Amino acid sequence: MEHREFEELLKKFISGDISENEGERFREHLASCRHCQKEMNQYDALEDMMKKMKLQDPEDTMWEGYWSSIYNRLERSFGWVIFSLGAIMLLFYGLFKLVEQLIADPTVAIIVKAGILALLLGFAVLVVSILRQQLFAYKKERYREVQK
Amino acid sequence: MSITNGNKDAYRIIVERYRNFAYSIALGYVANAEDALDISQVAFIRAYRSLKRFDRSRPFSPWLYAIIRNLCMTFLKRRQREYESIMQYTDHVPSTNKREEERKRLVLKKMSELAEDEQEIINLRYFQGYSYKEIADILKCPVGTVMSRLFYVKKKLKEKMKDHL
Repeated sequence: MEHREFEELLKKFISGDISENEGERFREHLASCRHCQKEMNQYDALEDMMKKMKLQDPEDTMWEGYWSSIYNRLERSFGWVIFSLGAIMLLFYGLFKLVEQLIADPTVAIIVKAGILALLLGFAVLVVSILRQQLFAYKKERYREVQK
Repeated sequence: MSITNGNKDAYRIIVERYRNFAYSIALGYVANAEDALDISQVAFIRAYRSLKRFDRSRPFSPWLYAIIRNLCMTFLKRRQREYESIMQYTDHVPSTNKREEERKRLVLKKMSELAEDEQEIINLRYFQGYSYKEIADILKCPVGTVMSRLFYVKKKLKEKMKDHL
């Protein structure tokens, strides 16, 4: 048996996915080849060592306050959303009033007024474009959290 | 499901059912109990916010796993993993054999030198104790691919450890 074939059978043997016939050939070869025996022993030693390394179960005390922490953070984030919404509404209202005053002010040059309007129009187009893209991605992507 | 309309108890049941799973997955990646606890909590918060997008015909744990994995990857990019710290969280049978202890320490060190996806599959199989089928479900790949990947990772690890096995 060539080494390449042995490795293929070894892979199946280690994974527990070897057929009866292949298993027989594998064991026959192993019994007569010291090099492969050594390799097999190394795999066994490694497997044995790694099987002993399980993560400890956490202590019960660790779960004290676990849920309340999640709940508080969720509640706080809800608060932040409302706060941000209010801040955005006030900011837009303030901006609107400011622009309204500037446009109505006869002392402000036409070119400045046109510039402000162009600036606002550009900003509005950008916001709508971003929102539309986000909405499209939200509708299409069910598993946004899943890394591709 | 909203936290404000009384359904918080329903989500609490979900959290209590999966908190151990979430914590141990995170611990396997970040190797620090405090960080793992925090990441698992953040994962539940993210999952809660995304519940509407969750396909209820699918199992919850692979979906939660994906959220935890992303959080851990982001966390690890910011912080260099300390390979030996995971040792204190492993539940191996204590050995009086100094050589064996050293070898275990060495395995963990060599594991930390593997690529992230290689460490991940070792973590799932050995630290978490998942079957090939469960790993395939989590990683969304065929069982044969899991077997093959695991074998080549073990082969790599064996090569790194050959003078100590």
